[in-house]
Amino acid sequence: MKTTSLYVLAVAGVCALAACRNEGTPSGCPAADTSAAPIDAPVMAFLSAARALHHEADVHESTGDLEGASAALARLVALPAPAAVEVDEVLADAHARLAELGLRRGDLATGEREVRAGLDHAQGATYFRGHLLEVEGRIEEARASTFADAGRGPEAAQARARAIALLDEAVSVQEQVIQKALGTTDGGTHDVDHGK
Amino acid sequence: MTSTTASERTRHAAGRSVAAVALAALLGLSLDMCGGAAASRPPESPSAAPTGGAYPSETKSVQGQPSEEPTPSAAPPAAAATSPGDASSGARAREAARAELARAQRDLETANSDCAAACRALASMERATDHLCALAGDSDDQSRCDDARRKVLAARERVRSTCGSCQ
Repeated sequence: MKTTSLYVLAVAGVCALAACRNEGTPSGCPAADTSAAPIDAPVMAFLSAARALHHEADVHESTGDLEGASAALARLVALPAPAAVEVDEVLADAHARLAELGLRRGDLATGEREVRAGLDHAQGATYFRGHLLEVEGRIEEARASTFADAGRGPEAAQARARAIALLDEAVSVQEQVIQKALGTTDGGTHDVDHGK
Repeated sequence: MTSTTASERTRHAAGRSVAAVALAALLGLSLDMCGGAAASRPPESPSAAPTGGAYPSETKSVQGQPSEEPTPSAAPPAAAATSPGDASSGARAREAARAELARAQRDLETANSDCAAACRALASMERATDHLCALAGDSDDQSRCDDARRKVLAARERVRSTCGSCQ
């Protein structure tokens, strides 16, 4: 799963850093960036636990056990979380995955709740915020469909409009992420506020 | 959800392999700078790497290189016999090669990380656009759809030209 690979990368990177620090000489290791904050043991422990729980969720999801997958991820977001950027990213991503699982189960209320919780850990133009907005847009799309099926036209239209706004915001955020990652200085960037 | 685990692993394995090739090139350069016995080393590298050019074999030949580094140290006595200045300039050249290797390695790792981030964002962007356009009803919605599609096309091209394929 792509999310598992994200954490494999994160933990691998953390372990690589630890391995380099443990060596007697820096040979073979990237030169230390003294301006960067070191990753401490609690953060490494959290990342390791997160990877394990994502893997557990993968196993459940592979057998169609969405409840089991959600339970594993619920344990992840309930872990004592040290204060670190990497931890916020992991939590944002876990909440996004929980929201998607809720969406797949038809539990839109849980999905929306998880998106809200995830957005608390994702500020600014980051992939994690963009992904959460994308998921929320898809939740509103599902809500619009439910309202339409129930013959509740005005509510369906409202949900559809909100879905479009959220998805449009997600596109803009991810556009900024790509520009930031690849060093593009094209126009089209703008700050968007999330709110009902 | 699209699984990119295998592709991400492949991409990062490729990134490590490119770093290994860069390492081999720079070590070869430093050995040349050392001169002497090192002159006999480079020809061994091509023979160590299979003609298939499989990265793992190249990696092995690269991994073999560091152990071969001590051999050039047999050269210094002969070099020292000729001029102490040659030995110090050789040491400076090796140090410069190591520093350049470290910079190249960092650049490769950063590039791989940036491309992974961009690919992830592009995938999310594409999904959001597909759902947005599926919902588009009136002309305003259609304009947003068209705008989103343009952004996706531009982003896709940007990622392709910088990172190649995301898969």
